[in-house]
Parts: sequence; C-alpha cells; structure tokens
Amino acid sequence: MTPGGAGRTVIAMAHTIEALELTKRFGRTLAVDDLSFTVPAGCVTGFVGPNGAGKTTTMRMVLGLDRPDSGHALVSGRRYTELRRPLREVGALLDAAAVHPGRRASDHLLWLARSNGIAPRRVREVLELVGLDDVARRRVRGFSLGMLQRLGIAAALLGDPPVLILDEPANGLDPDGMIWLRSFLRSLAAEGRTILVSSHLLSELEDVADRLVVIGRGRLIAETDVAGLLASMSGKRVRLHTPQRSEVMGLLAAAGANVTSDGSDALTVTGLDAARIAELTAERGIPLYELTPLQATLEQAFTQLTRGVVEFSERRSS
Amino acid sequence: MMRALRAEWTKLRTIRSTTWTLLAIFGLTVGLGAVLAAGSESTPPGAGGDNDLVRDSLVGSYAAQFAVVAFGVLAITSEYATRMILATFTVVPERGRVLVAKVLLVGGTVLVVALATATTAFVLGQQLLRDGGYSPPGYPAWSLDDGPAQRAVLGTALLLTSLALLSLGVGAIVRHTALAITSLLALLFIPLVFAPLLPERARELVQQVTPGAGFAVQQTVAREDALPIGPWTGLGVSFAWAAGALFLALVLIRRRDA
Repeated sequence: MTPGGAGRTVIAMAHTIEALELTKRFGRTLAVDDLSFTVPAGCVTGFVGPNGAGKTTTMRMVLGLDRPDSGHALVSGRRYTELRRPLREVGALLDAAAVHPGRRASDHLLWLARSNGIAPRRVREVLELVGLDDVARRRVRGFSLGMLQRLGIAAALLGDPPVLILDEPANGLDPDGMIWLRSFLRSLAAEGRTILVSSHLLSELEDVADRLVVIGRGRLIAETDVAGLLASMSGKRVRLHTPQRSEVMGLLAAAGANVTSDGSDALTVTGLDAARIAELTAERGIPLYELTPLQATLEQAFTQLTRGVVEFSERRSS
Repeated sequence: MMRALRAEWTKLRTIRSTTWTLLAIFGLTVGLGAVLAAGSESTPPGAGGDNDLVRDSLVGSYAAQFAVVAFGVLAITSEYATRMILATFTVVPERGRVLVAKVLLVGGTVLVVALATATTAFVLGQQLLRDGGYSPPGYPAWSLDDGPAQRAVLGTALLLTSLALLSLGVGAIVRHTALAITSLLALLFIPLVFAPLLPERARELVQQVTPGAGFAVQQTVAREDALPIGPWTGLGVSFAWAAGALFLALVLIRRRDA
C-alpha cells in the first residue's frame, strides 16, 4: 500500500499515441492515406517526412482539430475530444506563431491555464522552464520565432502532461536554440514523457529520437527504432584509397562489387565488406592507403527510405 | 463551462483593443448625441412640435454600431486571423462551450457598457435639448422616471447587445474579419440609407425585417420617419437575427475543421 493510497485505485495508464487507419482528404488531395502507427509510452518518437507529407494534418487529427474522413486516433487510450482537461493529458505545439501579437506572454499562458483549471502560478514556472521569465510581461508582438517556439513549448507544458505533441519545434531556431531544444527534449524524455516530435529535417532529431515514424504522401513508409535503422544501413559501404585505382576497380567489380569513383582518389564500394576487400587486394599485393566502412547517418537512411515518395507540393505541413 | 468562461474573460481583458472599442461605443453615442442636441434649437423656446426628444438624445447609438460590430466580430475573427483558434480548440475540445462563453462575455460586456452609455447620453441629451429651447410647454421634460424613457434607454442597451451578438455569430460563420465587418455594415447601413428611397410598402418591409428594426425601441412619438414596427417587436427582430446567426455558427463550429 502506498502512503495516502488507501481506498484509491491507481490505474496505470499507458501514455501512448495511436493512429488507427487515419485518412483525410482535402478536395481531391489525399493528405493522409490509411495511416496507422503507435507512439509507445516513455520514448521520443520522431515524426518525419518531406514537407507536405501529411505530418501536420495527422497531428491535427490526433488533437481533434481536423475530423478524419475515416479512422481515428487515441491518446492514452482515449479520443482527444473526450478529454475534459486536455492540457493535463497532452501538451501540444502546432504553430508557435499562432498567438495574439497584442497580448503579453504571461497573459497568453494565463488564459490557457484558466481554460483547464490550472493554477496561475504555474505560468511563472513554465516561463522559467523555457527561459522566458525576463520577457513575461512583454507583448508577444516583438518576439522572435525562437522566442515564440519557447512560448509554445511553455504552453504545452502548462498542465505537466505525460504526453507531448510538437510540430516542427525546431523551425526558426538559431543554432543556440537548436542546442537548447535538443537538450530540453532529452530532459523531458528522461522524465518519462511520451513525445511525438515532427520535423522535415531528420538531422534535427538525431540524438533525440529513439524511434521514427516516417511518412511520405500521407502514407506510412517506416516505423522503426533509430538504433536498428542505423545498424541495418551501416557497413554496407566502404571507402578506400589506393594508388592503383583502375586495377582495384576491375578486381572488385569482378568479385561482384559495385565501385564508384567520385573523381578524387577515393573509391566507394558497395556489395563487399571491408574484410573481403582487404583480402582480395592483399592477394594481389595492391597497397591501400585507406579502407573505411562508412557509418550511415540518419539523414542517409532517411533519404534512402523516402526516395521516390517525395511530395514537392507544400500543402498543409509547414 | 466555468473554465471556458474564465479563459475567455482572460483573453478579453488582456488585449487593449477591448478597452478602445468599448470606449468608442461610449464616446460615439454620448459625443455624437451631445453635438447634435447642442446644435439643435427650437424657437421660440417652449414652442411645440413633433420632435422625438427621447430618440434624438440616443441618436449617437447609430454611430456606435461601428464599434459594436467591430467588438463582436473581433471577439472571434481575431483568433482565426492569428490562428490562435487552434490553441483555443485544443484546450477546449468541446467547441460549443467556447462559443457559449463568448456569447455570455460579449453580450454581458456590451450590455453593461451600453446601459451606462445610453443612460449618460439620455441625461446629457435632455439637458442640452432643454437648453436649446425644447422645453415646456411645447415639449414635456423627460426624465429617467418616465416609462417610455426607461424603455428607450434599456432598449438601446439591449439593441446594441443584440447587434454585438449578431456580429459574433457572423464572425464565427465567415471566420474573416474584413468580410464579417463588411457584411454586417451592409446589413445595418444599406437599409438605413436606401430604404427611404423605396416605395412605401417595400420600405416598410425592409425596415421591419432587417436587424435595424430594433431602433424602434427608442421611439416615443409617431412621426413620419418612425420605424413601422412596435418597440419591443423591433427589438425582437434584432435578437432573432442574433439567435439565427449564433445557431448557424454553433452548428458550423462543431462540424468544420479548425
């Protein structure tokens, strides 16, 4: 029995986000197409895809702002529109610039707090948390995009929610802001929160996301954990440096490898691993100055995944 | 519902345009009424006539419609213009509550301000008109103790309230500031300017069914230019417009994507 827990049933609720066959059409455009994925509790899931892939529309459907044509979404097992005090369950940042320019930062947070019965003193706390306490009484009009993003994150944290949904929080941040955001997201994750964070640039999520949901043209392309994805992409390409380029190219090609030259002395080999290349060249006594298995970056993995599904038209996603 | 109400109240009191618009309602009504009353003269003093002194002292309320429309419209369209409506509907997913809260606050605020405004305009206007020669025996001395004067003053406050609510409804329907304000000013001022040019039957119909019918609540003398509708019936027409717009707004706000 926990202290003070007499007679109180504590239901351990899994703080997850589930998209279940979500479909949304705008006129003739199929913005989200039969999209299902799960954001597991307690980890950071990156929601990535090119601009216009349907990320924002998906998030809007999760938050009950857009009505799906079919399918539905659940947050902690419930539909968002059924939540009585949603700020205590889910913090959301959709569009940081969507604030009234004539209102003071603290007043903006105050009306949000009032709407969910959150004590006004929490406003001061979240402003300190995101480092905006100095400008609390300034009107939002003069805020930079970076400050607006911080204000938006402060708003999302008002109800101290176990789940966070952040749409492109890195947009408009300068390098310092990026560093701040990454470490801030990591600290939020360390507190055990479930976080879904979108970006059209995967590099922004490197070192932050544990998992990825990749979409393109409204459809799911991949749902994977980052470590596994990187592992599956690594070790498949090898860079080497040799004074006997043409000989090596012929030799490796004969062994079934695909060898490309970028014009410099370096060659990039796929289809053979580094050990096998070393053996083959050693047999012929060919010297190698460099032999490096290339670690795939998240960005390369992403490019690989989304190749061919890039939607160029920018629709609703920003 | 209490939480939505407190949130909307916080929004309303934390932007400066609220104060300015409400001051404009007061200033336009009292100021314009005073200027017109001071400029009007009855000679010789005490001579009779058919001027409607009660209505004349409240004539500034016609100009106050601009501010009332702006106040009602902006209460919702400013959220669409800034896209803040996303946050509003995210934190209060039951959108009907948002609209109801706005109705109560916009209506309540305008009612209070307009009541103070109409009372001031009436008292000041009567004084100025009396000074201008509209005095006994030709004209009775009106005071707030008189039934018709009370009806006109309270009625003016209610009329402006109904117009604010109509504006809120139209704003919620069209979701665009300029479009909403233009539509409303057309609805309110085109009949005012052009109805007198129509054949009598058509003029009467227009004056009976447009939202401006509520101005009949200010009338105490049966004059040629009086609105052809009873005072309370006219006010009812104005409120019917507001109710219709708000009902449509409620249906749309729940159905549409934010």
